[in-house]
Amino acid sequence: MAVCLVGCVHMSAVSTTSIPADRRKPVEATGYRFLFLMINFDNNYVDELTQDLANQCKNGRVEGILTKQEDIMYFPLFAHAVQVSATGYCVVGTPPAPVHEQAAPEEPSQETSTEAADRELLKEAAARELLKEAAARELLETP
Amino acid sequence: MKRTFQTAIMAFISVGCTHSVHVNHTSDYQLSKPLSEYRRIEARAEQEVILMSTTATYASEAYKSLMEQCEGGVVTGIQTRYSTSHGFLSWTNVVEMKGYCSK
Repeated sequence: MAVCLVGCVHMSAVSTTSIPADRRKPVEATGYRFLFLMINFDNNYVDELTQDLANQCKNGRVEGILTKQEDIMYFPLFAHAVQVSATGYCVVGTPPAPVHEQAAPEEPSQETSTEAADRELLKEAAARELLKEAAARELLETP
Repeated sequence: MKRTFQTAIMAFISVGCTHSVHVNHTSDYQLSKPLSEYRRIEARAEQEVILMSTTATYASEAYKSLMEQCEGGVVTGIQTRYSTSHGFLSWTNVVEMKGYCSK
């Protein structure tokens, strides 16, 4: 009987996001559902949580969100509840610029004058071939 | 009588030999400089439970401890582990948080 009359809280999940340096404005939201005979018809009470947090921080962004899901037993079998709570900090201002890997500087061309001349010759040869093909096509098309 | 004694011995031997991880979560990484320049910080909070518990504030305690180790800086890349170590008619809930402090 004594065991039945004592409530019990069990945490079933916990998570957190990056904690900001500016922790002046804390925000908090809670979703709660009482369960009679442990019956639950939907989980929509959780959806209001993010909206509630956003409403408390309209001109900024919420960071450092600690989310906890707790199962509460008021009386075995008959009276249970689930509570999801989220606490964080409202931060106003631009987020820090992310670090990107710097692209390696382009190496200066090591091409020699002979190689450059060869390349020019190849270009000229290709152009001559195209001209020859065009002339041959014209000859074939003329009646 | 003999069987009762054997059961009691078995129960005594198996105390504290089971551990379970419920959640292992990793947060986002908000980096403004290379990760090697960040300081690794850790926080741990426990809750001893005998038969039942009426609060679950130890997660908040771990979170607060982590923040206190990085005043004025950003804590990012936080790994949160929630586990339970079982004993005889009792157990210990543990929340461990490890992250990177920018300061």
